[in-house]
Amino acid sequence: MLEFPWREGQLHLFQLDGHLLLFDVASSSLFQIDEAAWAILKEGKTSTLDVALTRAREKFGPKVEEAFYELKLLSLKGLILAPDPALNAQYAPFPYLKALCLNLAHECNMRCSYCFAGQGTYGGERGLMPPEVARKAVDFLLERSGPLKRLEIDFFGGEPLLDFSVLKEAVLYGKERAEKMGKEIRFTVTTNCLLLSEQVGEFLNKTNMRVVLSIDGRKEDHDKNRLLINGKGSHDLILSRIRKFLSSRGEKLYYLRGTYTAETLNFLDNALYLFDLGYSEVSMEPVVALPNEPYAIRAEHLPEIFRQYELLAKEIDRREREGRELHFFHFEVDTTGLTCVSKRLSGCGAGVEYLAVTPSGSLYPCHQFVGRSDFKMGTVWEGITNQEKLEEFRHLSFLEKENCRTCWARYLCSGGCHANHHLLSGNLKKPDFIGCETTKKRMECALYLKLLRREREKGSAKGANGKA
Amino acid sequence: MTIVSEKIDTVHFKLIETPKKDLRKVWDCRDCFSSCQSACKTSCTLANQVCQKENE
Repeated sequence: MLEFPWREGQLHLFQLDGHLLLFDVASSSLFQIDEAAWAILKEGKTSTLDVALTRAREKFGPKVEEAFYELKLLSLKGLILAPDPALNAQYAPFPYLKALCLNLAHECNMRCSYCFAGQGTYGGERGLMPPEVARKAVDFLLERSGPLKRLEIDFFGGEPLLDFSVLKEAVLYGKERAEKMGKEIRFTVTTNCLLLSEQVGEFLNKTNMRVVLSIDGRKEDHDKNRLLINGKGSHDLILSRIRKFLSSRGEKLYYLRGTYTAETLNFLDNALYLFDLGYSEVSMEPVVALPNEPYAIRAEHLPEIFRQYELLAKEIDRREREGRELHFFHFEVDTTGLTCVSKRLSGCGAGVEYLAVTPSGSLYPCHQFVGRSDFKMGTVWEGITNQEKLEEFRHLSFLEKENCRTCWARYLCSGGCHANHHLLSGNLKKPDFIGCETTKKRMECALYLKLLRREREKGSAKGANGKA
Repeated sequence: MTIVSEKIDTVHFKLIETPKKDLRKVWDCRDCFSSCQSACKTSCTLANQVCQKENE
């Protein structure tokens, strides 16, 4: 039964480039709607059904009756304004471990100015993970994974390729043990590419590892922040590494990943630069920084950030109409094959199903918490010893986060990044404003891009600008 | 790729995309490749992650 006024968080009405869009939150269904439908729902946010229909009829006459009939039909089918039982779900904290981030190196061969990890050391001692810690971490994951078949290990740092021999050992050991147990471990490495030699590339290709390759885009922006130890920019060197490596693997299983800051808000230019080099998998991520840093993103930057995302969606559409297939990480929103409700409620699972391991074998909720001493959870030998912290993270579904229960993006965002919330608001349950607003804008652009792609599939000649 | 679960002939509400399965069924699987798989490891978005059971 349609209930008006509808509640905050049930629907999201938004418009981009003259297109009117409706996202139904409970069903994750996306509609393009016309003005009559828009008027009914817009009025219906604050009015009863009778009042909403009366006001809509004043502007759109008989069309309102047709639109209302369709609304009732779609509501009965569970696609619009259907109940959301997940909000009252009995959320069960997950008892198994499914992913580890191995910080192979608390050391780095670059000196990026915005590095959240204190240029690799996380504020502590420099060091590389010895092989016995890596093997123990693999055992730790497998032994605590219960019935789960699909596990993940991500290699991170600092710069993980500084410890390449241990990376190799961990991968080969992990594959062997997982196979014997009927499980599969997906491996990923994030690297600044400086050590991405032919030999390293051969191993990554042979073992089908996913790679995240750090490059901020155009030389003038990349070299502002991504510096070699001698203080010089690294763009040319890194791009040559990237070109050779991606060519060697047929350009698959990778993402080019850049950071944008308050000083390089033009991430549109940088994303397009990478796409126009011929690459199809690109991500541009906002810097993680305390507000007092000069490069930190502030609320005043949001209008420009929103403009950049909107233009990027249109530019991607334009290039796709010319025959390319492009993937901008945060626009790849798959609402058709969603993970289960519990996963949607729990998010990344940091601290529970996902942990980070330091070179010495200490456990933290995720890579971003490494170095925050209150968050140490145990070791790979002793297991979880900080039960209080475990319990805190086990109850971090978005149901318990401020404002998330009524946010339209909740099933796509899942409450956001716990580490960012703690860094910026001091509270794991309080999402930071800038992160929320950025995420919601990205979601809108991702949904808008679905409309543009759908129009293209149906053979519409019009692009994002309404022109052929 | 857009998927429509059933043909719905409407004029004022044009369905673009809807899930293959109903998200509102409260069930707990979590056997997916979906940890913090963000390209930067700092901006995870669950929206990118896909149920693997569909592929079995």
